[in-house]
Amino acid sequence: MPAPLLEMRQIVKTFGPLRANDRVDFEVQTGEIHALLGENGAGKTTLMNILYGLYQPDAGEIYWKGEKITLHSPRDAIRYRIGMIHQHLMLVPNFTVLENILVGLPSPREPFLPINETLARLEDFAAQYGLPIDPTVKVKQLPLGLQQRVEILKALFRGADLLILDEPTAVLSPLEVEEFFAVLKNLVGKGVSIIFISHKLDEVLRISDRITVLRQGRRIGTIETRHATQQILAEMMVGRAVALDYSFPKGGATQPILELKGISLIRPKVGRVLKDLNLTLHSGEILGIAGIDGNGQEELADVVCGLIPYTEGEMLLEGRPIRNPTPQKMKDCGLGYVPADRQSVGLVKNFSVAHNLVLKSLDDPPYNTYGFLREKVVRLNAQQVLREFDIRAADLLQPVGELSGGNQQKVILGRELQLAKRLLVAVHPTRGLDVGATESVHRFLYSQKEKGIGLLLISADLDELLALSDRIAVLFRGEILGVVPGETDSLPAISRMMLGERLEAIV
Amino acid sequence: MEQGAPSGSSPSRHHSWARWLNYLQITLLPFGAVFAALVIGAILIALTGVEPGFAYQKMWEGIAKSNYQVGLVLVKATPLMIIGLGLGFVFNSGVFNIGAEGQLYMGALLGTAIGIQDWGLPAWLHISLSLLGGFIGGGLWGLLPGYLKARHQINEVITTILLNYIAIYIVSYFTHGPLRDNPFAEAALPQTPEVQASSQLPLIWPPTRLHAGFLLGLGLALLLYLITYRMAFGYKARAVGSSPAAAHYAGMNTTLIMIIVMVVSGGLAGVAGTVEILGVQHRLRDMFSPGLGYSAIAIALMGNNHPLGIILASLLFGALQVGANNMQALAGVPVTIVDVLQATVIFFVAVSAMIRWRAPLRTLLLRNREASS
Repeated sequence: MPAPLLEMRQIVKTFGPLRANDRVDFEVQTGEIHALLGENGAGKTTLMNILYGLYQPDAGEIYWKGEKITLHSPRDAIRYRIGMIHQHLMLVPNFTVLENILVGLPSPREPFLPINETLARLEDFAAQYGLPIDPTVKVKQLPLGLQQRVEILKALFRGADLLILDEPTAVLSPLEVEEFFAVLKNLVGKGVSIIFISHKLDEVLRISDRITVLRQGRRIGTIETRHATQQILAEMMVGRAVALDYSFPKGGATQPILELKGISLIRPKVGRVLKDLNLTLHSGEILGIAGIDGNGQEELADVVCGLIPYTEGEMLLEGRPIRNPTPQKMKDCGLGYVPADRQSVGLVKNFSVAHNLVLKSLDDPPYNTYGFLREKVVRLNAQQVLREFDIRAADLLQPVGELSGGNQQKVILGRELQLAKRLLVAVHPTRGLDVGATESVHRFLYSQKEKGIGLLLISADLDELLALSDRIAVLFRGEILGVVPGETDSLPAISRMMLGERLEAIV
Repeated sequence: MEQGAPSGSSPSRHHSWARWLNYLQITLLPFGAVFAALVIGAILIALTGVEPGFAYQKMWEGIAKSNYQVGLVLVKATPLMIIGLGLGFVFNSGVFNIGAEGQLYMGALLGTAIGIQDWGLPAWLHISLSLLGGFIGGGLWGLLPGYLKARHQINEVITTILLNYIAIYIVSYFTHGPLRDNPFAEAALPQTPEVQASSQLPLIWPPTRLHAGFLLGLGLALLLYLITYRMAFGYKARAVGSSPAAAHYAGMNTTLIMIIVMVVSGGLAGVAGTVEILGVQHRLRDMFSPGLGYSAIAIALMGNNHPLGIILASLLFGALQVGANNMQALAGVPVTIVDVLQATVIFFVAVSAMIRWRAPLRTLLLRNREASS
């Protein structure tokens, strides 16, 4: 084998008592797509941030094209022709594609920008790499998939022999992922090497040449993709055998519990966020809401749970209209809500686990007598919930902000499932959670359906929706484009609706 | 972090370690701030040609030489403590009330207006009515910016500062006009007549100047502790402060809570102003407050918004003030140096409070960045 393009040896990086990278070895050959796989918190991004010069390693060496290098900042990385596309795109929304690419480019005639030259070269470039784009459009007008293309073009334009892609498919719909993979293959053909960070097994298996798995900061191993299977990779990631494909029994819906009739939401300066929504949720049913992020999902949840007053329409609970819903009123109606932002909406981070578990019941018996909080009852409740939901906390009074994402989510579930007497709304309930935590969250959600509770499950993860939902509605730019059964056969229709086609047009 | 950001073998030990470090920070930083201010003060004192050791000795004697001096420290600490308690309460809810000075003036005005009435009331009733008037005066002056902030998102820092000026000039108007003592005398000062004997706060530690207002302050501290840390309302108020989105999500009436905490904090500043009149000055003078409402901001910060911390911080400030006066009188340190010394303490306290707030933020950021890998 020739000398690798990149070699990272025995990289160590600690944050306080946290060992994010523990003697990690990693190498990339010229012209390969090397996947870096691991659960959240396994240290993938830390390792790549070191490679991009954002962090300095505590120990270890980096060899680039056979030479030992030290990276003090991203500027060094760019100089060595290493490019990184972050998970959250770093473009100026109000600039055009061209302007975004010009930013940070050296100019031959400072202080003027090489606008015309760049424009001419950009067209060649885009054609050559198979990344066609209109350079005069403002970035904010482009869908996320094309914005990502701009980021890639920007990196290539500066000159990149190695591209680091941090969870690039997280913002893409299934069809866009196909297109994106074709682009990656094309780039490799032009001699660019790629590091592809992901925690999605199927994607990694499809696109990469080799896979390196990290777990808890350590390198577990590197294997050739053609020898790998989902099962092998999952075990390497989690450290034990895991059930990958599971689906829950469908059916069991009874009478309608929640009906939305012509619900619209107009927000100042944003415009119409929800358009004439008509949906019926039944007791004992899981109704999935699919869609690419930012198509009104979170607003829909907030409207149903009373956080945002809707502009038009009517909401019926068991056939009776609810006037001016507020969070308090909806809670009293027996609604539980697992919000998308667990850190700053679902929890008060500096409150203890025990007090977060009663956050919505501070005024209710048995926790409150004459305005005073009964600490003993609060703790008793916490003990019980911690046991039932297997929440790992140092003690009941530990600030909830110190818990891991999975345990934070279980605290929210522990609270909301107590309140969900009739309805539960869950938004991205497993986002950012590892396989183990995801599995237990799914079981808790399913147990609600078995109890006869109506569940509105909003998620960007289609596997999750298909595994749990009886029916799936697709939201696109605030509109419901169709409702299909929650089964694998619906997948093509869902994918097309996610991009804006109506169900009637597809069938 | 189920399998987590690799947090080593014992996450629980790490957490308790971090929490202890946090407590240590909270307790030690204010002392560090005072120490740093004293060091800078020593340099300034030396520059004026006075030997710093001698000056600080006089300062210490001023604080603790006799019961009388100790009483004086407690008297100075009293209004600071009462305002500070209200400010700690409102800061916990994330509302930055800078208007305690104006609320103090408005409370003192209403409290004094009741205190000077010759209604022939028994002392307990007359005092209670005056204090209630103080609470209402200050509370109304807090209600206005509280309402504007909670309902219309108008920045409370700006409105409360502006209201301070208005309040001070309203009091000026009354002490020069309608409530002026002896308006037709040759050299009438801009001040009200003396409050009735029945409304003056009794001295509780003769022969020192210590009056019952100090006990009132301690009682209020206990009350606020109970509300903040034992009652459901306190939990809600703190939830609004640390995470407004979560409070709204949890069904709390964030608007009402913000307004209530502003009224309470303004009311307590008003009570402090009234206590200062009924217990010490006995008449309301034009421009009577040396910035008590501003010093109390530093006291609330230094006390970490906790009643116990606020009691300690107000005692420290009372001591610094009394000691500094003594240092000026007996060691000949110019009065401006004394002012600088106090300002330096406030500065360092504010800085240490910032450090305290930022440190957890930093660890949080690192953890988040890690978690999104």
